[in-house]
Amino acid sequence: MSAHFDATTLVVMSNRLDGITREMTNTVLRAARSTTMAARDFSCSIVSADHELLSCPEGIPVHVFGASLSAAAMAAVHPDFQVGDAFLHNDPYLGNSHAADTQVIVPVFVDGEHLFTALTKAHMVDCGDALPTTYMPMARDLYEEGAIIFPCVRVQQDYREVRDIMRMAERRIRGFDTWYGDYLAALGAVRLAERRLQEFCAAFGVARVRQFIDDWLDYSERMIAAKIATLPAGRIEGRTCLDPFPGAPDGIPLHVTIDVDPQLGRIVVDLRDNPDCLANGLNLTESTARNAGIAGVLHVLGSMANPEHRVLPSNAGTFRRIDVLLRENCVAGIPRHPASTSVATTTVSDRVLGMVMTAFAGLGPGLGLGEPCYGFGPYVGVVSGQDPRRQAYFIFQLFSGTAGGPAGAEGDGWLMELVAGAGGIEYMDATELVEQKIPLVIWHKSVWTDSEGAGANRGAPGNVCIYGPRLADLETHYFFDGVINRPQGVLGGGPARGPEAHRIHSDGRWEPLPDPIAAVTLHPGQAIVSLSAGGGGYGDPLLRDPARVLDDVADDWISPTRALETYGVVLDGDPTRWETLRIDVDATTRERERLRALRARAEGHRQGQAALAWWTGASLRGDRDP
Amino acid sequence: MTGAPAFTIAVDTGGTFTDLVVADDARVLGLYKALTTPANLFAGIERALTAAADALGTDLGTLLRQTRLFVYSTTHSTNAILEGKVARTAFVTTRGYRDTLLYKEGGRDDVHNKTRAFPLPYVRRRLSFELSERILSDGSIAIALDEDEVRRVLLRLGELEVEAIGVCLLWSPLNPRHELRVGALIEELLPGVAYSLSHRVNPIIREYRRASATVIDASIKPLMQTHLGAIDARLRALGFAGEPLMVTHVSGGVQSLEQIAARPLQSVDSGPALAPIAGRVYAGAEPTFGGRDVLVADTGGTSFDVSLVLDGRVAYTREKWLGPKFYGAMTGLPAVDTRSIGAGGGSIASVDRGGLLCIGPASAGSEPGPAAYGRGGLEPTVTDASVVLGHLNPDNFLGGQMTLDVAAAHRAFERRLCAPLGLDVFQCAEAVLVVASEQMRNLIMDATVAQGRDARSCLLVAGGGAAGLNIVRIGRELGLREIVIPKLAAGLSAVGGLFSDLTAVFSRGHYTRSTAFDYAGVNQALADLDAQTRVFFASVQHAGRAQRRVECEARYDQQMWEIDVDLGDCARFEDTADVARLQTRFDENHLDLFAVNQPGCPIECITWRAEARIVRSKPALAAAADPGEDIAAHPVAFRTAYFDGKTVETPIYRGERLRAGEHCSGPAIIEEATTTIVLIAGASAVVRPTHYLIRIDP
Repeated sequence: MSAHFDATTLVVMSNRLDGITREMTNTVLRAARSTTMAARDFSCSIVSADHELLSCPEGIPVHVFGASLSAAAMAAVHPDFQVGDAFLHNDPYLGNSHAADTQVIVPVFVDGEHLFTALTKAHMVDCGDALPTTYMPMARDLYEEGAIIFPCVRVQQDYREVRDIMRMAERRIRGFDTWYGDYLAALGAVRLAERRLQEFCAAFGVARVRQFIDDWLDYSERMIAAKIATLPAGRIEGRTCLDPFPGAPDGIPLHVTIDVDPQLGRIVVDLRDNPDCLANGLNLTESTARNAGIAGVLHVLGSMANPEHRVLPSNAGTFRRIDVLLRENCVAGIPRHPASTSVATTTVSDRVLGMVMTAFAGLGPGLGLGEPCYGFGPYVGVVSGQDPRRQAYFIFQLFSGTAGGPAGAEGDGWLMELVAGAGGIEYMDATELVEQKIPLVIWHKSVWTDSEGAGANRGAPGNVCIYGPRLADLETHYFFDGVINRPQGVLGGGPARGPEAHRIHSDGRWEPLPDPIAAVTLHPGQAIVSLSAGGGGYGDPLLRDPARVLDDVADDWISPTRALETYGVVLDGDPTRWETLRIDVDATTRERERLRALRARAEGHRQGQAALAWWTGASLRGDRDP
Repeated sequence: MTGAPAFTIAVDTGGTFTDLVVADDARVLGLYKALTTPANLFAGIERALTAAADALGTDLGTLLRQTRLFVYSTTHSTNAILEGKVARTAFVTTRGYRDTLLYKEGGRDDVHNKTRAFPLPYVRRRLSFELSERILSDGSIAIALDEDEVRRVLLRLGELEVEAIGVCLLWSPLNPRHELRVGALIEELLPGVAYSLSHRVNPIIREYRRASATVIDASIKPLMQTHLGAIDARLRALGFAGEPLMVTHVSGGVQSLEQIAARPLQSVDSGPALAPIAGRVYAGAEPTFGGRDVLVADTGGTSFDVSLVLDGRVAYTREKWLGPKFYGAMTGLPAVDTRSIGAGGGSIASVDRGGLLCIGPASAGSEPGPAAYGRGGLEPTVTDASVVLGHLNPDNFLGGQMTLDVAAAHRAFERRLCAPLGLDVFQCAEAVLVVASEQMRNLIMDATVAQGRDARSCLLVAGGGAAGLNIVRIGRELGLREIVIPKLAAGLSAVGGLFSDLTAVFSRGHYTRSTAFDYAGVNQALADLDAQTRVFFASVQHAGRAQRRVECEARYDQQMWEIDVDLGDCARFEDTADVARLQTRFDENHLDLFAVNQPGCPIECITWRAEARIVRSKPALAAAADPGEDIAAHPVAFRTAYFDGKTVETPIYRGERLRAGEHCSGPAIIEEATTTIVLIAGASAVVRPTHYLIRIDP
């Protein structure tokens, strides 16, 4: 415990700092122009002069850690930074997450001394990519990706805009007016933080503020150390594999080793044993690789039984006890220019998150989670086209659906995970608002029945979203993972359904759209069906309380058939009239015993096969390595 | 007591107390309290009425016979919703949108807890039904309503024995034809089943909010129609013969019983909406007010509420949640912007594993209550902190109705906080007050910044029974110089009921852009609103002066959220100059709210709104003139109390002995019948006829 530790002052000052970050968030949310910003795909944060993250309440998990790296980049690139400066930064090789995430960074001075840096990171509507989308998984390198990169460039000097920068942006960025409106919202937030932080220092005095920073981070470190101390000691491993992608025709196998030391109160996540950077846009950046490792651990800690309802602060003190080991030129590590990192906030990042969460299920009872939803389907597609109503081009990212979260020991998965890296923070579009802005019709948004990862606690089901253009052709860009290697459950929990897409022709015909990376042009009268993934289950579905199964059937989250075949629950009554359904307790007991016996036989068969694996394995290897 | 009926009575049935305020034509006569009786709310009202009659030297029947206006504020609908005791309600919507109430608008907090239970929707999926119809964003019908399908669905609803139906079809505010037809079929096939149509309940764009408003409205219709009818009948049976019963609504006004019963959603959460009405009146009674913005804080036993009066008008929001944000329900109705945290006297203090002092979220409630209540509570609470510090008089709690157990409060601090914090009992208690005050300070900051204001430029009016215990401390932390604490602080909402006008808000969605302004369409929308306000004015049987105010909800081109632009009593848009004026006002508001704007960027107008108001004549707060402030007050006693780390022999002043014009300085304690004011060093109080003005040194 620090000599200067004062519990009361600490609460007061930390609340005040979080209050400033929330005020920034509110400003961006209300003043922003694009659907991405309105959907909350941005984070505001405050870091210390030493670039340690101090405050980021309600930040997007995959964004949070990067604030430290980006503030450090500002100091490295511009050692002469001063009052009145603002910097525009989206450089993935300099601590940013990916090119579409654009930061506005302001150093905050008090009496001529740099005390804080305020940052807003927002996923912009466009970043100048070669195609009208902010996600380019197929890009072989940065040049093919095409994004305009601002390596922490000075965009305001003496509180005045450097017009050259904006002229460059205007030439390269689609929907520039929207982009510029979002930039102004972000700038408004960091300038507001500057004023508020100066008031904060005036109220408490600079000396106390410095002491507070040390004490606050120390406190956070003690909190996480106390939490880690409740875990069993051990080394655990996690594995997962992405579906095949351009540049990775066999998929991308990933591996993590995690050392948990409750005595030292420390967790080490080692991501170095992974493939080199690939010739596609899936490579992680330093900030997203670290974030995914840290967020995976924090999800596990945050989902443990928590009778005190205490939440770990999202700051550098908490992160001190989670070491993430990375190596350069690694798909889940630090990229080398010009490797493309276009989709570094999803895909590989989601998989790292998933394998960290599932690995913990092997550490001891009550720990770990299933895999989260994978894929980035048409429900979050980037749509573009001409709006004949205003004779104008538009480009927007939809947030018109969601996807399922993983189950854990304490309960079922969260229904609106949306995408794994955002952890459910993002908002869903109001259909009427989207239809007012863009000439499309969103025909359907609902739960996808039977798509959940079954389990004693089940993953959340995915979502069905259907939309199509109204007046003119519409282009939508999206990409999948988890179609072949679906989100897995743990400890006997089942896998969830993976994502799918179909085109509905104007004659009603459904055409599957199997391409994992797609740019689909829809004509008026057509529609696209987006089926998004669910989350993996936790524990044996035959152990799920039959009353909870009946509840899911009554609400049509699962069908009576799935209740019977997957959960072994026998229901009496008319399946088309939920109020008549009752659990047949005896038949359910018998059915579950029967399914267990079948499973045991299948397991015996599998083990028999495994005993002969030396033969099939040898043969395969022989084919490959003559 | 003879002559023409003269009394106005306002009653506020809160969670713990039923507060009742009586006024005659000239002034407010007093505040009377009784315990709320949840099983039969009228019993508590009758007790409070009897207490008032006793105090006024008359009997219940005579008091009621001489009452012209009765204003009723109730938590009946709010409680029914929170306890799930509403009608069995079905949701009927456009095909593909059955999960509108389940998904809401997404978002969450506590992001690392992956297995937090997903909140149940207001109407479950099993009671949600879809119709194969579709209207588009221009109001055109893409797929016509299939009446046979509607009949099948309604038959199924009959089979499920639903008692209420909320109908929300996409784009119905632009084209209500399908909703109206479904309404007609409900009346035909399910006569007697309550139903609500979304374009009538809350005609806004954004389907979740409209749907949510609609199903909540339908679900409380049967019970509110019964409840309000019963209250009216009981009052009239006891002799009340005045104007139609007036009921308060969430926009901070009142409407007649019939109007509220037709759209009961408006009564939900209406109690806190009255606090700023009273706050505005008290601010006006303070001679140094000078037309500042008013910040109103209301401290109850379990919560702390904050609201604002800006430029003389109560601040509104369209994002009020019933229950916690993301997990409760939102209606999108224009509601008084009250923000609330569960930091009341009963909140429990504890120390977490990292050594940090935390207040709440657990609360001792009223059973067992704080340790000092002596009813078995073992955990230290905020109230216990005030007891330990000697700020609360143990022999005069709730006007002497209850004696506080000081030793029990000490034991609770020793047991839970002293060792982990390394502080003595008094230091711990002070720390608890500091942290609780900080939470309240933050809430005030959140509320003011959300409206783009600086708390320091506002006059703070503090109400609620526990207001005075730490509001001066909070004011100092906020950098405020002056606070008004009403003598009737404990009944702030009831006082608000007395001073509220009859109001109704109407809105019309009509989209247009400043660059291609649709004069005809907008003027038609404004004419429709004008017609609606005229109907409202004609239906009102109460005396008063009619007023109208029009607002436009607008945004920059492609912006996602709208802000309000005040158009005054604007009737029409004639030419480009009118549109330019709208644009300029929008730019100014945007700069005020968000610190940035983009003059010259086209704006989009989304919704047009009219507020109709019948301004009633109001009593004065008090008859006495203000005699100045130059007489030093005399304490009735001294008590040992703890301030800023020191024990102080603190002067105690009694409210009933203080006369207007007297003043005193902190450290000091003023004990009113229903509230206690703690003056810290550096603060002073001046006694006004209706309130105390607290001054804080910078």
